[in-house]
Amino acid sequence: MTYNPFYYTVNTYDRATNEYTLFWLNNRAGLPFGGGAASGSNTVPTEYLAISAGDRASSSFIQMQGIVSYDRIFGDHNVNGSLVVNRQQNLNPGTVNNFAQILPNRNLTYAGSARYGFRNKYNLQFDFGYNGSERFDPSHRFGFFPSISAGWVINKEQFWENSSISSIITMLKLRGSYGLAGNDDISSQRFFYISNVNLENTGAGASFGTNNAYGRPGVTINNYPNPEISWEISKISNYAIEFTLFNSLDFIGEYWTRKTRDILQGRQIPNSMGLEAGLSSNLGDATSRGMDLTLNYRKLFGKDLSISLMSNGTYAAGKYDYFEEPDYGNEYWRRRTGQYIGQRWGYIAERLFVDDKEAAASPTQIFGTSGLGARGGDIKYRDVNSDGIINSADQVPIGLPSSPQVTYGFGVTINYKNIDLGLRFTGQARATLYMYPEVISPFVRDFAVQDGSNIVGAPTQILSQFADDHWSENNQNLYALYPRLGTARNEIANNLESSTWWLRSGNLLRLKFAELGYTLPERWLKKVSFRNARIYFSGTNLLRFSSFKLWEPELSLSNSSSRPFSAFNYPLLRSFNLGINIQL
Amino acid sequence: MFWCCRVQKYLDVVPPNVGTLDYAFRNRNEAEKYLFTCYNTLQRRSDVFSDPWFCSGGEFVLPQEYLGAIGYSVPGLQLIKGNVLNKDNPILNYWDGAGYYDAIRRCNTFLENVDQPVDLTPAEKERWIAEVKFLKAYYHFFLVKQYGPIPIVRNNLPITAPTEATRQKRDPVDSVLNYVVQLLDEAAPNLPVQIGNMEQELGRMTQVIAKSLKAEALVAKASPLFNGNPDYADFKNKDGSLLFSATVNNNLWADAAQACKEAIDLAESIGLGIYTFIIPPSVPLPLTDSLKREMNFRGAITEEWDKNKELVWALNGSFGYQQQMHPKVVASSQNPRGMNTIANPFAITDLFYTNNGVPITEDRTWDYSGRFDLQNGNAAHQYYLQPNYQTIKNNFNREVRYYASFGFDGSKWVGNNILTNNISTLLSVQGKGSLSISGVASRESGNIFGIWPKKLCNWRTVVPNTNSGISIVSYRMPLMRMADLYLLYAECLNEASGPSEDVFRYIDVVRARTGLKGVVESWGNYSNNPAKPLNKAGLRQIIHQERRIELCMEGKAGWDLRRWKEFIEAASAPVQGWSIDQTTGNLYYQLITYYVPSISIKDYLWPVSLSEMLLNSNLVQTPYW
Repeated sequence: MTYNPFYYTVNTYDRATNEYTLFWLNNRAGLPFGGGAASGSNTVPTEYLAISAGDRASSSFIQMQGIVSYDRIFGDHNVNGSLVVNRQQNLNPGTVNNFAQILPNRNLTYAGSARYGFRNKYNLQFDFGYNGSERFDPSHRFGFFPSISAGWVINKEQFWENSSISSIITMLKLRGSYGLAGNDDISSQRFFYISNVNLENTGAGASFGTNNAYGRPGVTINNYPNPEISWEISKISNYAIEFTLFNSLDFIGEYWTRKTRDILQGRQIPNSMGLEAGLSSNLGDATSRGMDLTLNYRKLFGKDLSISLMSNGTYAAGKYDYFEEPDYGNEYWRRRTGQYIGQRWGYIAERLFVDDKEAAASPTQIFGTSGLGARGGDIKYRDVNSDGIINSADQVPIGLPSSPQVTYGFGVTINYKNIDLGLRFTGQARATLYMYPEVISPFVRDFAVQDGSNIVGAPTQILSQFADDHWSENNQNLYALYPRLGTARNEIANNLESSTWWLRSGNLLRLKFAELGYTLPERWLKKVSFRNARIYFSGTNLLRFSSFKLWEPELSLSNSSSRPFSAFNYPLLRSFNLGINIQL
Repeated sequence: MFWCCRVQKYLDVVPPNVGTLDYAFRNRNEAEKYLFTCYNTLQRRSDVFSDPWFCSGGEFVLPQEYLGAIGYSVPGLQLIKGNVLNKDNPILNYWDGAGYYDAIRRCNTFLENVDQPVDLTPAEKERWIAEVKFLKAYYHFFLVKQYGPIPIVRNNLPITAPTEATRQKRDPVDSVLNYVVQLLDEAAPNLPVQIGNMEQELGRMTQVIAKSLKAEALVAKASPLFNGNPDYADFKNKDGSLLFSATVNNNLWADAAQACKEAIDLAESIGLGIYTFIIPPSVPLPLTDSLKREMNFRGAITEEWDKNKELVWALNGSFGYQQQMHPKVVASSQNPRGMNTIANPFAITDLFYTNNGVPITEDRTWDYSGRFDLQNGNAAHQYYLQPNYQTIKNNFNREVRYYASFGFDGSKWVGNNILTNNISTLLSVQGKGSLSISGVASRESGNIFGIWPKKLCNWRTVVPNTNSGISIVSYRMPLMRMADLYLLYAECLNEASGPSEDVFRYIDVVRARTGLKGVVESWGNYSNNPAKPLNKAGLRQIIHQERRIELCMEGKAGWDLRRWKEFIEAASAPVQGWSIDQTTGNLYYQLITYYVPSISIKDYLWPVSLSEMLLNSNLVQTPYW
C-alpha cells in the first residue's frame, strides 16, 4: 500500500484572529507536487491508498495455539475433554495487482470436545467449533458448528457374550454421528462485504482536447458490497455398522448424507439493471449421499493353503436441491435444480446430415461467427423444444458427471505351499468421458498451441481412427466416428458444440497389479546360508476392460488452454518385473 | 472483554482507506474521473465497426471469407448479408453485458453523488450535471434506435432491491423519446454554447450538440418507423399496453422541424456552416475549381475538428480504419495482410447524381443504357479521371461527390499528401489485374470489389511502397455536421407542410458546395420528371437521396433507411463488384455478384438476447424474432 499526499501552502493569514486558510497545491493533474510513482496515471493526490503492482515474493506463516485438556478415568468411566484456541496467519502475496493480495489470510478458531466412554462399550463425543473468517462482514464473521457422535460395541455386552450368537457374530459395532460443518472458501473472490473499485482504470476513462491530450482514467466496479454473505453450512450425518462373522469375514458398511445450504450463487438480475459486476448471495442448496462398503475374508485351510479376499466399493452422488436460475417455464430440461453437481449440458446428437440440402431443410443450426448454417456431414441436433432453431434452449443434461460415482476394487491373495499369487483389480462406474472436440479435431489452425499471438505448436494431427472413419463426400456414413473435417474453427463450429456425439462411457475395470511368487525351500537355502529367498514375477496395468478404445480413458481430457492435449500425453505404463528377493 | 475486542480486530485485515465507491466523489479531482467514466461509453463508439448503423447501412463490404486465415474478423460488417443476427447471441448487442445500461447506471450514480465534492464550484457542478444528463439521454436514444421500446432507467435501483423489482418492462417508444428530450432540455441551458478551452476540452458536450441531438430524437419520433408504424401495431407489453403509437401523427414533423431550426440558429450564431476547403500553405495556388470542389467535400469529413466549421460534434477517438480503405496508389507497393480490404458495393455508387445534379436514371442528357461502354479519360475530366486511361462511360459526367467519395479503376486519387494542379503528379487508381498499380495480388490484402471508400481516407494519409512509411493522418468521424442538420430540417419541413422555398433553400445550400444547381432548376432542366421537387412525395425522394449521397459512409444510412422504412428494399440490393483479376477493359467491367442479402422485416429492430429474456420475465421479445 502506498499513498499520494496532498500538498498545501498558506493562502491567507489573518493576524488579528490568528486564522489562516490553506491553498491546495496539487488539485489538478500535471501540476508540480504531483503524485508519487505508485499513482499510475493519476498524478494527483488521493485519499485512498494506492497499490503499486509488482512482485512481492515473500511468504510467512504464523500460528498461535492454546490448548487446555482434561483426561481422567473413574473406574469404568473414561472422561476427557479439551478446549483449543487457534489463530493463524498466512501471507504469500507473490505478484500483486490489487490490495486483496497483500493482505494476510487469517483464521480464528475456538474449538472444544468432550468425550465420555464406559468400559469401551459406549462412546459419546461432543465437538464444537466457533470459527471466524476474515472474508465476511463482522456481523456474519463467526459460525458455530457443533457435532455429536456415539458408538456402541454390542459384542462387549454381557447378554451378547452369554448368547450362542457370539460364536457366529464375533464382533458387532454400531456408530453414528451428526453435526454441522462450515466452509468459508466459497469463491475465488476474497472479500464480499466491501466494494472493490478500480479508481484508476485507464481503459474506462476518456480524453478530450484538440489532440485528445487531456485524459483521465475511469472508475470501474469489480464488486458490489454485500455484508450478508456468510458461511456455507453443511449438515453431515453418518451411520455405520461393523461386524465380523466367524472371525474371518469382516464387513463395514457406512452410509452418509451431507446437506449443504447457503451455497454462494449468482443472483439472476436482468442486464437492464446496468450492474458492472454480478451479485451473489448464499442461495443454493445441495444434498450428497453416499455409501462405503468393505468386505474382507481371510481363511487358512490346513497348513498349506491360505486365501484372503478383499473388496471395497464406494458410491457418492450429489444433487442440487435449489439452484438460483431463471424461470425456464415449460423447458424443464434446462433447470439445474434436481440435477447432479457437475452435470454436463449439451445437445442431443441424432446423426450426421446427409448433405447440404438436408441440413438446410432441418431446424436452423447456426454456430460460430460465420452466419453459415450446418452442412452435409455436420452433426444433426435434436430440436428439443420444437421451435425450428437449435439454440441454448435445446441443451439438455447429457451423460453423467465426469468424476465416477462408483469406484470399487477387489483382490485376492493365495498362498499354497511355496507358491503365492496376488491379484488387484480396480474399477469405476457411472462416469462419462467427454472427448473435447476442440482438442481432438485435426488440422484446425485456430486450435494450435499459442503463446500469446505466436503459434508455437502445430495443429492437432489426426487420430488414425478418425482418418479411417470420418464423413466425406465419398464416405457419407451418417454415423462416422468423426464428422466433416475442416481447417478453421468457423468451418466446423457446428460440431464443436457440447453434444452427446462426443460422450462415451467412462466405465472401466483394470487389472492393476498381479504377482506370482515362489519361495525357495529352506533346505536349499541352508547350503548358501540365506535366511530367505523368493523369486517373483509381477506386472502392473496388465489388463483393461473398457468400451472406450481411442486412448487411455483414465488420462483425462481437458480443454484448458495451457495443457490442451493431456489425453495424448504419455500413456499409463504397463510394466513387468522379474525379481529375486534374498535376505541374508 | 479486552481479549474479545482484540479478537475481533484480528480478523479485520482490510485497512481503512482502500478504494471504495465513496472515494470516487471525495473531491473535484476524483469526481472528474467519474465524469470521464460517464463519457467512456460514448468514446468507445469511435470504433465504428462496433456501431450498428455504420455497419448495417449496406455501404461497406468486408469479404470475411478471404480473411479467415489471418484471423481478421469484423462481425458487424457481416450484418448486411442478413440472417447473421440471432437471438442466442446477437451481434453488436448493447443491451447486455458492458453495454449502454451500464453507462446509464454510471450516469445515475454520478448524478446521485455529485453533491459530495467539497471543492467543486457551483458553476462547474451545473455544467457537469448537464453533461451527464446529456449522456444519459444519448445512451437511452442509442438503445431506442436499436431495440425500439426499452425500459427507461430514471434512477438506479439499489443493489439490495428484490429480484422481482429489477425485472423492468419495456416503456413505449414515445415515452422513451420524450424522456430523452426532457433530459436534453434540462441539460442544454447549463452547457457552454461552445468550448472555450479547445486544448483540453474539445469533445465535451455543448449546447449546440444538445440541441442537435434533440432534433434527431424528435425526427426519430416523427419518422414512419416510430410514428404509428402498422408493422408494430401488435407490439405490446404482457399487460397489453401499447409500445408503438397506434396512429400516424403528422404534427410531430412540425415539432421536429422547430427543433432542427433551433439547433441551426444556435449553430450559425457561433459561426458554424458549410465547410469549404482551407488550402494549406504547402499547396500551390490557385487550385482549380475541380479540385477545390472535391476538397470542399472531402474536407468536411476529414478536416481537423477545431478547423472544421461544419462539425457540430464528432466521435472522439480517431477514425481508425483508413489503412483498411486506402488503395495502393504507388507502383509495386505491398499491403500488409488485412489492409486495403474494405470496399463499397457497386449499388451504392449508383445513388450519386450526374453532373447536372439529378439521378442517373432521370437525367435526359446522360446515356444510362450505354453506361458500361468503354471510354478513355479526357481533358474535361482530367482532375477526376486519369487522362487517356480506359474506363467506362458510367464514370463520366458525374457529380463531384461521386469522384470525392470513391476510388475506382481509372479515377484520380488526391492522396498520399499530393494535392496540386499538375495532372501528371496527381496519383490515380488503376486496378485491372493483379499486376496493376492498385491491383489485388492477394485476397487477404486487397479490395476485391475494385471500389475504394475514398471519402474516409484523409488526403494527407500516406501509404507509400513500403510498409514502414505508412503515415496515417487521423480525423474524427462526424456524428453531426451542418449539412446533415440542414437536410434534416428540409426533410421535416417537407413532411410537415410540403415543398416550399425554405425546403429548397436548405437542400440547395448543401448542393452548392460542390457546384450543383438548386433542385428546382436541376430537375426542371434535366430530369425526365421535371415536376418531381414540386410535390411532397417527389421532394421526399429527392431529400432521401440527397441525404444518402451527402452522408454516405458516415454511419447514417443504417439508421435513416430504417426510420424511413426503406431498409428492406435498399439493403437487399445484390452486393456486386468488378472482375478485378481481369486485365482488359471488356472483361474487367463485368459485375460479379458476391451475394444477395436476405434482409427481412425483423432486421428493423434488434432482438433481445435469449438470456436477457430469461432473466426478465416481464420483457416481450421484439416482433418477428
